[in-house]
Amino acid sequence: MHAPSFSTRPRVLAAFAVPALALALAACGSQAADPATTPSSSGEPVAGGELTFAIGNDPISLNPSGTGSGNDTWYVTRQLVDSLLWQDPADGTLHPWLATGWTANADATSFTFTLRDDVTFSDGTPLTAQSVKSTFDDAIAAGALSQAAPLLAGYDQSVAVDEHTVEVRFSRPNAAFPQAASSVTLGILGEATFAVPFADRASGEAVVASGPFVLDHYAKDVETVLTAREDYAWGPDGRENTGAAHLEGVTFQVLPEAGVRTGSLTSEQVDVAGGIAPSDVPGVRDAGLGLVTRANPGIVFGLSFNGASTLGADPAVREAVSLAIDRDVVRDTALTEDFAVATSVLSHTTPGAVDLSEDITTDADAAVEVLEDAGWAREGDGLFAKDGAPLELEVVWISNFGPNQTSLELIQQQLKDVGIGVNLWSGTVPEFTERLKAGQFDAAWGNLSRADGDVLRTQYSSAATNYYRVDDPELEALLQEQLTVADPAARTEVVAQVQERLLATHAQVPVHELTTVVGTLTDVHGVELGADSRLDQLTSAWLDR
Amino acid sequence: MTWTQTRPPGAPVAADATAAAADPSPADPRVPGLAASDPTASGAAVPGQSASDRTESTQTAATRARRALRALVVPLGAASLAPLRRPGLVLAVLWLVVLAVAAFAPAVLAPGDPLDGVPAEKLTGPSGAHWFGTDQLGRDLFTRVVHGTGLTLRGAVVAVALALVLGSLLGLVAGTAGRVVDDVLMRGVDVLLAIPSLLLSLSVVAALGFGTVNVAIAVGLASVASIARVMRSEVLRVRGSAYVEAAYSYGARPAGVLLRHVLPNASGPVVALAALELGGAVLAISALSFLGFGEPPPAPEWGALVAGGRDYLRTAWWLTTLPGLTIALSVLSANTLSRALDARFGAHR
Repeated sequence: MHAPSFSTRPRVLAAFAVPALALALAACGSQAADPATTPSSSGEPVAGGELTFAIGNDPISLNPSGTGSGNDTWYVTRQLVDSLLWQDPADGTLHPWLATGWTANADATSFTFTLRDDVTFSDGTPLTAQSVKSTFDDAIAAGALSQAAPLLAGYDQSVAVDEHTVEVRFSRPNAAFPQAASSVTLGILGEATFAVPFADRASGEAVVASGPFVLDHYAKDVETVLTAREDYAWGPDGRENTGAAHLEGVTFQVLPEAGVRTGSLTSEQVDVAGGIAPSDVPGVRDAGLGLVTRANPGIVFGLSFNGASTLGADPAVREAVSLAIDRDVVRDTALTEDFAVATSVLSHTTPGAVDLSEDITTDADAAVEVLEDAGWAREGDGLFAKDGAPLELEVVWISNFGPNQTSLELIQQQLKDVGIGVNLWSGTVPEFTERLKAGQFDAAWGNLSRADGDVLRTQYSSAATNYYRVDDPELEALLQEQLTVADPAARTEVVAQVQERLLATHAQVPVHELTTVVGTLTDVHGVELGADSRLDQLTSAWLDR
Repeated sequence: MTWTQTRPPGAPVAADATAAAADPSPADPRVPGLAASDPTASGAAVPGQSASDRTESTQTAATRARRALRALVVPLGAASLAPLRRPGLVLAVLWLVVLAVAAFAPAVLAPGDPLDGVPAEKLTGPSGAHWFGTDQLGRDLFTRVVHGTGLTLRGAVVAVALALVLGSLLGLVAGTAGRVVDDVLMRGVDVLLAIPSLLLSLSVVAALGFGTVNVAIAVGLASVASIARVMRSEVLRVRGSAYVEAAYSYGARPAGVLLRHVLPNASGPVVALAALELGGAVLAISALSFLGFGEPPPAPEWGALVAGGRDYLRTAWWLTTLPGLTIALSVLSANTLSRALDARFGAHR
């Protein structure tokens, strides 16, 4: 075993301090955890202790609907805010959380939530229908600053029917709204939050929410320290612990280098490390450490073509690319067996995903044939060309996922073998977004996580951001239709048709699914990933020490 | 590694420049005679100036050729005469020769394709078949390092050439064109020196766009200032020498004196500094390509190779270590050569 590190020392002190504190609180009539519980490995949670969690990126914004750095931001903000509904990671179904129940009208334009009456925000004020209304109104008023806007597509207004009933109305159908209401982005905030302008809330000091943790302090690029709320008692029923967190606090420490995160974990300097690189997974497993893995729901990693570029608009090129990519080799080379080869444009953990793996094949000869039939001619042993223009795809990507470059270099090699050239371009996130906006690419490599098929609309509808300029009226009709169907079963049927359509036209060429991999020390228990494969609230987590 | 301005061991920089300006000693105290005091342009060149135009031009050509030959022979001679006394220098020169071969004829050292890999042979350690092991795509790392030499080294040469030309020009003008021009140019150089060179390179690359040539230009611009400083101080020193006074007294034109007497005698330390800058440029270019500002993948630039191995630090040490050692050895070799050149030219001061 590893020698005890410096960081374990304060925890030893904490272990003595906790019973004393708990006794004092028990004397005051509080429902603190039983101080007599002795540490054991039998699975009985132990109260107390501070958890150190290594993340790769600074959260940037602790405002739940602000623009942060993606998953790492949501790891932190999820601890601070609760949502109206909770999505069960097991099957993607929605369950009560801050809302005890909800109803939707037939055309999915109005949703009525009844709220719990025992919820208080961290400043002591109670959760009311007005809190929900203010949260949504505020997100809409913030416009482009807020990431909530795409989730509230068609938002008209919220009406506080009574103190604990709120009706959310849309001007057009938004059947995906209940799932969106379970996201961190639409987490419910207290009135005090809105006194501070939206743009000034990034430091998190102004954010008042009802989550099981509150912000202690945030040091940019260093750490975010949270402390547990002892009066928290409204966790969703699906969780093992619906009450206050076992932990006293959590420190999210920023460690940008994946190798350093893994090293910090194996040397016991952190308790949990997010974003373990696939190449480090076998080592972590061999060291006997815990691994929490879950395939991300949403759009899988793959190439999305630009419908407005000459090459991206050519169906033969898209089909040939799909046929030329050997997904198993990409998975085996760039990733590990924890990652699944894509079976659809949606990953298999997405509610409504269908297995279309029979339509995703690899056949280099067929790829060449498709191009030749479409009038492309191979110049010697080199690249295909048509009318003097070589078949060279400009593929843009960002390094938001470590193995991207390896995957793309391999795909570049596989495409070259059938005569398709690839130029790779990468830059910062803003530069990447700028190129997508300007349409300066033939194909873009990427994924998008969300536990709902509506993610396909936000990505490929010409009425949304429309980065990919997909010119396909049939697809567009289906994408809009899935929003109008309030019945989940009927909606799943439409989402299935969307996937089949995207695959048939090769507007997106799926390659591999993303799997979130979190490493933990052996004495850390109860760290769970939510339905969106991002860290769930750490109420069930405990330290066996 | 440090990112402060690199300076040659013996070259006068800030303090010397002002000292030289304040004390333009009229005669070189080390040399008693006037005409014989020019160490490179021998006595024959001075009488040549009073001869006809035709003779002057041939004389000049001959002198130039002799100087060039001497510049070449001097370091070579140091290596051939006393290889046992300076094994470090011999190794450094050998290493630079290997690099030159790798840069211009990579197939001689590594006949394989640096971009083609066998996924089944990924991440195998160094062995007889793969000297540097293979990377995450099963590509031979030795082949990639060899083929990356051209990209990195060409970039470094472009960077140093740019810095040498621009810096020398600035230094020469500042040292000769009078006080106002000198002040303006040198304050500009001060501003450049105040900005950390990596930061300056990053800003220039951000403005120019990615790619080896742009990275080279950025690195070159960042080292203009130090070369200009050294050149100016040398020009000030030489300008006050007795042989320059003598040349003027023979009636030579200012431009002629500048090109024939001042520039050759002032350039020694600058050449030594340029060799040092070459090592610095290799390091700076590798740093920028490590950060992703160089050629897009799969180009095997050295810095990009190190960056590509980062995710495999725990499982495949050779991916970062061997390209990193290559960079380190190249920089050390350039520094060793620079030291030798400085010692050689420093003897004239």
